[in-house]
Amino acid sequence: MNLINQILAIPNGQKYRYFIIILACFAILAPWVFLPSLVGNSDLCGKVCVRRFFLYFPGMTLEDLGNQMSVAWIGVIALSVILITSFFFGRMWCGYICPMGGFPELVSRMIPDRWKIEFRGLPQVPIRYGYFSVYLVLMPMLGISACTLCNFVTVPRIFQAFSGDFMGIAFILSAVGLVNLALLFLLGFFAVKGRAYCQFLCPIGAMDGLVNRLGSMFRFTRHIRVERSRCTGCNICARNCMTGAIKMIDRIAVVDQHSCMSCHECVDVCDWHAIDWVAVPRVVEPKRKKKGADYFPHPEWKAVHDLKKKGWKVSSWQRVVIGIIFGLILLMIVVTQVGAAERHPDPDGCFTCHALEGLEYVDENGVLRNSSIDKSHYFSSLHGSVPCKDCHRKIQYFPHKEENGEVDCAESCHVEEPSGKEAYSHKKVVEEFQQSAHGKGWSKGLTGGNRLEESLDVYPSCRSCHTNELYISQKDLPKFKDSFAHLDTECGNCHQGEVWLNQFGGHILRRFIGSRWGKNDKNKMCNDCHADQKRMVKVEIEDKKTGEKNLVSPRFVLASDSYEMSLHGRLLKSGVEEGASCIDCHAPEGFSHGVKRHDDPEASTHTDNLAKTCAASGCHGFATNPLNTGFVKTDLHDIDIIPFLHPDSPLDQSRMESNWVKALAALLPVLIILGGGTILWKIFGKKKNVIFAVVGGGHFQKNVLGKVPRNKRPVKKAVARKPSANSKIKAEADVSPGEKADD
Amino acid sequence: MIKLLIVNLYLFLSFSAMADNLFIDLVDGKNVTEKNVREALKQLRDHKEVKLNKDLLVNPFHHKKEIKDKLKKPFCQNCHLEKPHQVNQRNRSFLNMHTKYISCETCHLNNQVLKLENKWLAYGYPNVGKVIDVYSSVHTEAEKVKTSILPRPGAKISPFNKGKKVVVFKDEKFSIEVEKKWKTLPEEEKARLKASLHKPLNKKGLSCDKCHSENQKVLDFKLLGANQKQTHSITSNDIAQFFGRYKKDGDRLRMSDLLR
Repeated sequence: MNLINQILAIPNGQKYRYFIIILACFAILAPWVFLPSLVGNSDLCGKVCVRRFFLYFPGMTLEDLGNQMSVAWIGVIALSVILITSFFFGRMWCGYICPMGGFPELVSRMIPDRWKIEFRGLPQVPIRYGYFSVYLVLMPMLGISACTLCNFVTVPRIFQAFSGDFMGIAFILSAVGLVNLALLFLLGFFAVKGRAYCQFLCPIGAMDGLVNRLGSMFRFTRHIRVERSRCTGCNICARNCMTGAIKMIDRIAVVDQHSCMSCHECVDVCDWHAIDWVAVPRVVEPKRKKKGADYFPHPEWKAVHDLKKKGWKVSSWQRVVIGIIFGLILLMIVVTQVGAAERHPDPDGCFTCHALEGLEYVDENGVLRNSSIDKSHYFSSLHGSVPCKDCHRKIQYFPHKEENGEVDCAESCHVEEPSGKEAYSHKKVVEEFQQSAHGKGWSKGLTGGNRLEESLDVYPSCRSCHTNELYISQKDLPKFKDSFAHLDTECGNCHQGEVWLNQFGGHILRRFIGSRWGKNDKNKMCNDCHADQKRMVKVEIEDKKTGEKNLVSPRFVLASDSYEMSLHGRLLKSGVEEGASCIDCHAPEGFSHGVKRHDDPEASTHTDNLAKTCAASGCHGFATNPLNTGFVKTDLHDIDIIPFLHPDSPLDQSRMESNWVKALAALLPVLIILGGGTILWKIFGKKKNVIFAVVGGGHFQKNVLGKVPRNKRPVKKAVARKPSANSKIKAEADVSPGEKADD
Repeated sequence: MIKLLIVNLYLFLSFSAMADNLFIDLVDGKNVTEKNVREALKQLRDHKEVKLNKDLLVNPFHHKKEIKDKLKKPFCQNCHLEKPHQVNQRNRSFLNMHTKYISCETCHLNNQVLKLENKWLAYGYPNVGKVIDVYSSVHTEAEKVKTSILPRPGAKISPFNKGKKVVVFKDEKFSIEVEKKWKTLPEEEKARLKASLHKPLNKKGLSCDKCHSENQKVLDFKLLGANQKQTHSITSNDIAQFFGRYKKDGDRLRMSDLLR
């Protein structure tokens, strides 16, 4: 009954607002994700992200900014729309639409206000813009990723978790997710009116606030404005303000346009119509006035109040200090991104038999051994000019002895390398490979028979990644044939051999159109081993100094998972090619086969070389700037974003020592106290009409509402009454004219 | 002795439905000797089950053509793999290659008495179990020249006796009965059953030159649809010829000698 009464008591304007927020939740949050799915997203990251593209990294050039904006281009458009509407109409996005703020607000309104934290009394502008400047400049420098504390991730993931989506559940079960959840409770559900995150931490809100303040300086824009002559100082608007933007100064409401979210609630509750969401009406002096009509006084809706706040002098040491801090930040920013016929390289006639289809048998290990080779594929492949015996050196007899069929990848063959006229060989690659972290893998002695053994080995062989491919992969071939449809008719007029056309045409086309593998293919290649946790758990690392061998850390084992949870992994998964693949960091240009251990000073991921690696891929040109040491320290394999309970890896003690878990340990008691208090208060508490929060309620009353609690007010001295003729009361002696008490 | 008779009778009676299949008739007809049974028992005991190890992490370096046909399984595949030859290093892959278009019985049926004809038998749908008549659409001399013995998808060359097919499919009554018996019989009886099933068959099939030579008697190439050129290339096949040069099983010849 009480609940229904409460719902009916909501002013109509607010019912409308809640309805739009709920609609927005449906449109943006899982499992419906109607709006993000229009652009192929299932969450608010990647193309749609509104918060990251304007971050400033020291040494950033405009090109880097352009790069960041092009990855998140829909976010750029969305943010522009939001800011433009805020200029003209007030903060419509924040107050009416944003589900990330709206959802905690609605939930918070269902919880009684007593056992909550009153954030509205805090000085909003300094905190909000102080944090915003740190967010824009200092955090990138320090390498603190804004993604792990992003509200645009937390709320959607919670909805995803409840609708059964894996990403949501994984988020909630990870250390990062739990801390975010705790913060959502603290700053959302258990904050009075539920908008503490919006007020203090949201960068969109900060920018919106600035635009709102700018817009309110103009007369033709609609913002929340106060008609001072009508305001009685009753406080109702300030008490109900969602963000605490209304302050009672000299008993007249003053709206802080940096913080006002145009939610319209103050308008709905003001009986005096002293506050409204209006543009200032034109004041036109009519040339003639009708007798009896009411022209005066013109309401002067004021949005910005030029008041001298108490203690806020024009020049004071507080302003000097803040000026110095901002100046320093600014200073830092300034100072400081074909033979014409078909080739038949089969002088030994191997293909007489090996071109036959179906030459297979099952060996004693159950492996199907197939010696048939697709002849036209071979001649069109990368090794098409290589005669069989150049690799299979030892075969002389038929039947071949098993071990004589072996191949050593470092052998040179009879094909002459065109530029140097030397016999071509993979020797250098093999040497680089043997020096690398994968070096213990097989590079010679490869036969058909030991494929099984290689598959079970922890270290990869040459064959684990490389098979004999065509110049262009099978799946891309139709696309290339399409683009170069004239290959058959133009080149093919003279060069009749299909094999020659495939080989030579492919040789050229590949260079025109680009390498064969996309980033996702590269990731898949690495993941074949590194995502197999049962294999990775067996890997041993030898300590370079002591020589003792230890099993690898959970960080290594979970590397593939932590990458997939990171922004790079998620971008690639959703088809945005700007994400960094495994190869982009671990085997960039010049490193191809030489993936070294992380602690090897020559490794591309070693802290000394990492900046060059990040800059080399053409993404983060500013990474080499010395002020960006923090950026380079960002952890891209952070296992705190993987769920605790992972099916294949046991819960390791080391994971409990992370900072996130410590933060959680600090937040939980607060939440338990607040939650417990709420429940107890609901059952046992005294109900009053006007409730103030336990934490911060008094401060709010004093500073925002201008109210002093009864027991703190100066004692009202008795005022002498003029003794009237009829009065029987005698005048009291010693009456001093008391100060008029603040009421 | 009596035990032998009783068991033989049992087997005979269980298979006594007069099947229209030569193989079944042969199984019923031939008597199994003690030596056969002993051999079968030994094989049963020494047999090691090999599981097909598919999808290794390391892929083969060379690209293979992957063609999967949906064929009906013959009775032999109850126990033997689709590519059954494993032992002889020289032959096994080539013999396995033939299993795609020649059925087991063509080479392994031990028959000197009855007249057998080899025709194309459909193993795949839609006409499973029916003979594919190569000349059904051929009416003129000109068309006769254009016929081909190239393997038809889903069909294998199989022996027929007076129109009765010799091949038994896995889903026929005979096969299902044998399967049931195999699961329930004790070891000795199993050996007996095994021996009786293999009695009409040869362990070592026909050698290469039995088909790949002039004047061979096994396959009538013309009946199977081969034209002149194809017949010639089969009968004078290079590979079959150099296999003929091997005197013993363990021989290894130099490859450069073979291609002269």
